[in-house]
Amino acid sequence: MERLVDPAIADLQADYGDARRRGAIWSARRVLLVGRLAVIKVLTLAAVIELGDVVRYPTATECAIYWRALRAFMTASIVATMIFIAQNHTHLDLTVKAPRTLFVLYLLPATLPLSVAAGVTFAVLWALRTERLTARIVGAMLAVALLCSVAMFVDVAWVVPESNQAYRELWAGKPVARGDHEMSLSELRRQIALRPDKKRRLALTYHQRWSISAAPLVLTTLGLAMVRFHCRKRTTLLLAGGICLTYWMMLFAATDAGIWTMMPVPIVAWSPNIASALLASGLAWRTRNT
Amino acid sequence: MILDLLIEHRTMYGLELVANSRRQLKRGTVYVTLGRMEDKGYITSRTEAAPPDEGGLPRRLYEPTALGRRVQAAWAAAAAHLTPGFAR
Repeated sequence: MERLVDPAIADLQADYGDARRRGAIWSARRVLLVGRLAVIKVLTLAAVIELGDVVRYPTATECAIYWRALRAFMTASIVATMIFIAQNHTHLDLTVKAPRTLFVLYLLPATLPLSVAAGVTFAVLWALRTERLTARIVGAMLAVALLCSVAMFVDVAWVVPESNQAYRELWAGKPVARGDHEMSLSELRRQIALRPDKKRRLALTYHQRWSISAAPLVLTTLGLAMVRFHCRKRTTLLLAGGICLTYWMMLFAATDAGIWTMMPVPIVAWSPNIASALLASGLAWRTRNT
Repeated sequence: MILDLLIEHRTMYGLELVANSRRQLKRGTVYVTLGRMEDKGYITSRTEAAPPDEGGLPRRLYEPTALGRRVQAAWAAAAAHLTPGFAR
């Protein structure tokens, strides 16, 4: 970091100082803007390189943490997926003549965003419950959470609409028209413009797709803040379960609020993430000196 | 490119390299490249003492090592040998 970022900042300061001494105010401002962008780029590259080092040269402690996190992630994700599928399966009409495994397969993409969010929450709290947080571990956890969020966005944007539609057609046994949850993001945007009567409901679906994709990243951040603030070995599972349950309840409450109140839809859709991020910021602020 | 410039000018700042590269080097990536070249032993760097009347971080000066000079010479010789072959 010292060899990558410091020279970029030092060159920026010197370049800016030169421009100021020449009296070229606008040139100085341009130098500052271009230089800051370059520093951001260097910082990003440095973070990627650091992450590469974490992956390639982990210490024994880090290895143990990553394995523990992976096991917790897999267990929590699988359990959450099974709960969601079982909950949907109870509504299944038993007279439908189609293989049950196909129904489960088509349900899977829709359950993933929440089960992965649960997985990362349990992974962070379980793996780090007795560990001292280092920049490398926090960076690795956040990078994995970011990857999960990107993967979940791909899932909700392109995979879920198709699998939902396939599920509905399998149930009906014939082609059926697509509903709100079976439309792609571009189709939703088009329908919002075309259907003023359903604008609010469609906009809520649209914004919730984006919001739910960010859940793994937001919940990981909250989990890391929780670990720093207060995490005891015995209460870890309770804490992780509590976070997930609260997040899901906020999600349901946000859906109701989006439909039945006149609050701005983007704020309502993002409210579970906003509340979690605010809580994480508050906890980080309380523990800033520890 | 970086070695060429450093051998020609002896010592340079990262930003000077960018300015002299005729847009071939970018400000956001040159420091990472310089860091990697330093890790491989092609170049060396030292921080310059900051002027006493100004605040801010000291600038870092880069210069080629003997290994870097040999690598650049070998690269130039290989390029000179291969270029007519490619041109045919």
